[in-house]
Order: sequence, then structure tokens, then C-alpha cells
Amino acid sequence: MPILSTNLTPDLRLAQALDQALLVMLTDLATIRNWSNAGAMAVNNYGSINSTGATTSRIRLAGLGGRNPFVDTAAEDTDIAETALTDASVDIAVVRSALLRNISDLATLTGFAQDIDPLSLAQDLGMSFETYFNGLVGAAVATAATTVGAAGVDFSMDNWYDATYVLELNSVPGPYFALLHPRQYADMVESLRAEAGAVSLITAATPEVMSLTGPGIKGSFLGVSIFTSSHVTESGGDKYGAMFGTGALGYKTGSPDARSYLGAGTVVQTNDGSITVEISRNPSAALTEVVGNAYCGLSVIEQGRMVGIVTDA
Amino acid sequence: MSISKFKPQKVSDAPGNSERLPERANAPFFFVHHPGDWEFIEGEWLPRVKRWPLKSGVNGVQSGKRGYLQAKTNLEADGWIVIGHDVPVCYHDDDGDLIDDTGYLCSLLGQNGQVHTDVWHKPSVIGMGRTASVDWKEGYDRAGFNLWRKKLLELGLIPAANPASLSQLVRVQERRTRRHAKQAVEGNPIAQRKHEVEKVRLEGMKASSKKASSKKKRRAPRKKKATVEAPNA
Repeated sequence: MPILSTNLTPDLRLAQALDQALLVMLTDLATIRNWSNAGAMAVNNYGSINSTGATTSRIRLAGLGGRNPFVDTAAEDTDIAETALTDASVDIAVVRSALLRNISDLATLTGFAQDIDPLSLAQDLGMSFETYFNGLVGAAVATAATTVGAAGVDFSMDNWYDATYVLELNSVPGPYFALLHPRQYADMVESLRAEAGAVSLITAATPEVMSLTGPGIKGSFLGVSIFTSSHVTESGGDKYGAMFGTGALGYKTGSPDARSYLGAGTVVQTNDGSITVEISRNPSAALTEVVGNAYCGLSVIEQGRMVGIVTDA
Repeated sequence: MSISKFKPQKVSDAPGNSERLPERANAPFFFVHHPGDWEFIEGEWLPRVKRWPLKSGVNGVQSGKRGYLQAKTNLEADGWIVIGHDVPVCYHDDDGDLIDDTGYLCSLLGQNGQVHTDVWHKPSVIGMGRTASVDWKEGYDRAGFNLWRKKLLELGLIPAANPASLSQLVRVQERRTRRHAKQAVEGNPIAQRKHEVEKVRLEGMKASSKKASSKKKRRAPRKKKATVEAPNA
């Protein structure tokens, strides 16, 4: 009788052997935080709330920069009226977000060379925060006060032109950014095929750009940088994307000096202090705890700089 | 492949569906309307109402159950109309009958918490396990939602459109029609058809602009301030 593999299972052979490679499941790896166009950031960082005395920061807006132009006087000795200064403010509430992983020693020691362990879990927390941040942006842009597109109708180049028209009407300074749901982008590409004239989508998926933003960046069309994210709000099958100029969105962070805290374990922080990862041992349970904390808040700073794009899925 | 229909439950403290929807949890929300945001649908202007998420960290919403109060006040100060959770709603049930009810916010148990939605959505789950996905579109009661938006106007919860707001939207459509006219002149039959569609739409927009902005404002029924304590905010 020949020695068959099927006869050796399960004593000498395994029914299934785990592969050495550990693959990442399909997920949105885009990073809106690093998205820029012509040197301007899509989402401005207004710094930290550290030592400000409050968790909510009020961003102040003043009507300067030529908002009130000089006025002609009726005569050379006319006593001119005072022009009031326009002002406004927007609150950014910084809140805590966190993610905790616990891994047992047995789970770690039985792992392969490339496997889940405290270090790989800690490194992955950075990406988890970026996903959370994308969710903040997606939720914020869905609240645009002005909207183009129609519920139940696919995205088309008409929506694109309508959106740029609205921004231009409002004299929104560029560069412009378009945050779209992948479905909107797919419809846009489809619609672009029917366009006449010398316009083309410039794909910018170079390794350099991708290393900064992940696969979300799609390129640009008529100077507008395009980014897709699955975190764009969906309601009734409609997608709530947006086009905006720089300065429309802003965020603030807080960074604890966790290294100096009493009883702190191994603490790793990103350069800007926005993400703090701590690794600590629970020896009585033979567990290693990996926890990431981040303090962040994001708001629409000026509605006039943004236009929502609502289209069908 | 299995398809399971989920029925959203009205938000309450009582336990609801025991099944979990394979969907990320999300924050509860208010429907809000900006006076300049209107939509031309089936020959009439309807107010756009959008979900304003009570997600802490977004647009000034702080942590905690009532962390949205200051942000909501700021929103209203900027002219937005916040539609409270306790307003009358109408939607179609599974048999297509129109139901009059109160309150639009619903929730389902999701992967990592509550998935908040509204009475017009009936999500379907396609597939099982890792391949499971949620379809929100098929079971969406768009007609009911549009009817409700009309009702908001009738009840005076949203005032009639400002002519200036509508004319701005008409200008966008005019520009769109002009763009298609340029392409239609070149003889492209697709462009010509598109131009015709956009032209009809533009005429419809202009005709109904007058009607929409001259609708008599009915006094809103006396009601509590449009704020309902949002669960899990």
C-alpha cells in the first residue's frame, strides 16, 4: 500500500498548515491627514490644546485681508462712517479616542517570524487612528451648507463642474480638494469618458504620493486633487462627498506627556504627539496590553469654502 | 448567498434585535436643514435635510451624553434648522402603506455598537460571515422621505424657500445647460439629448421657484424645543 498524504493526516501531516505570511484584510488604508495639493493641506492642523485650559478650542475668524475695501467718499471732506469688523468663531472639541489590544504570552511565543505580537500590534495602532480620523472628516464634510448633485442620481461631470462653479462664485481660494466616495469616483471616471474637449484626469498614484497618503489619492482633474474614502457618509444609498478649498476644515490635537507619568510602561509617541501608544505587562495574567490613545477634534472652519456633492450609489 | 432583511428599531433603552448588522457603529444624529440648501425633485423644490452626526470630536461636539448641546446651539445661531427627534414622520411600511408616526431616529445592533439610521431605511444583509455586506439602498423608502420633507414645509418646521437661495441654484443649472448647449451645437446626439433634459429641468426649476417661495408660511405647532436627548451621544 503506498504511503499517501491523506493516510498520514492527522498523525504525521496536518490538514491545514498556517502560512508564514500574514496578510492585512481588505480595509481602507487611506490617510486624509497627509493629503495636500500644491503645498496646501486639505485639513489644516491648528495645533495642540495642551495648556490651554479647555478641551474645546475656539478658532477665531476676523474679516480682514481686504474683506472690507475702501469706499469712495462723496466729497473730499466727507466724514466717513465706521465699518464694523466682521468676526466669527468655530469650536473644535478635542476628545479622546482609543484602541486596546491584549495578547497572551502563549499567543506570542507560538507565533511565526511574521505574526501578531505586541510590536506589530503597536505599529498597527497608527493606522487605526488614521482610519478614525478619516471618519471625522467624512462626518464633517457631510454637513456642508451648500450642495450640488441630486439624491438618487449618479455622479457625473456636471456635478463636478457645478461644485467648482459654486466655489468660484464664493471666491474660494485654491487649491481645491474633492473628497469622494469610491462609488462617486467610479461614476466620475465613467462620466468622464463621455466628455468632449481636451480635459483629462491626471492620475497621481506615484509611489512617493502613495507613501504619504495611502491608496486614497486618485490624482487631479482641472487642478482639483481627488481623494476617495469609504468613510464618506452614506444615507439612503446616496453618498455625501464634498469639494472644498484649503481652510475649509481644521483639526486640533492634544498630546499627553505619557512618558513622565508615574507607572508609565513603554511609551511611543508620533512626532506630532497625536498618537500615544503604551505597552504594559499584566504578569499575573501573562498578558501584554497594547493601548493607543489619541486626542483629536475636527470641525468645518468655514462653510463658504466647501460645497457638498450628494449623488446616488 | 443569503439575504436577510433587518428592521430598524426605534431608539429606546429596551433590548432590540439580537442579530448584529455587519456594519460599523455610528453616532446618532439630528436631521438639519440650511436655509440655502434646496433640491429640485420631480418638479418641485424640497429642502435638503442632512444628518448632523452627534459624533464627539466632530464640529464641536464634546464627549458625553449631552456633549452636543453647545455645538447644536452654535449651529442654530448660524441659521441651521435642527429637526428634533420627536417630530411627526411618515413612511411606507413593507406593504407600501403610508404610516404616520413620531420620531425618525432608529438603531440596530452593529459590529461594535449601535448603528443609527432612520425610519426610511431597511437594510438588507447580503452573504454571511466575512463576506457579509449591508445594502442600504434597496430597502430605502425614498418616496416616504420626500413626502416627509414636504410635510416639514407644511407643518412650518422648515420655512418656505428664500427666492435668493433658489435663484442661486437656478444659476448653477443655467450654467450647466449652457455647457451642454455648447456641446449640442457640435451635433453630438448624446449631448443634444442631455441638453434637452437639462433645459426642461431648468424651465421646471424657474417655474416652481416662484411657487415654492410664495408658499404661505403656516405657524409651527406648539412643541417642545427641538431637542431630544440623544442616546449614546
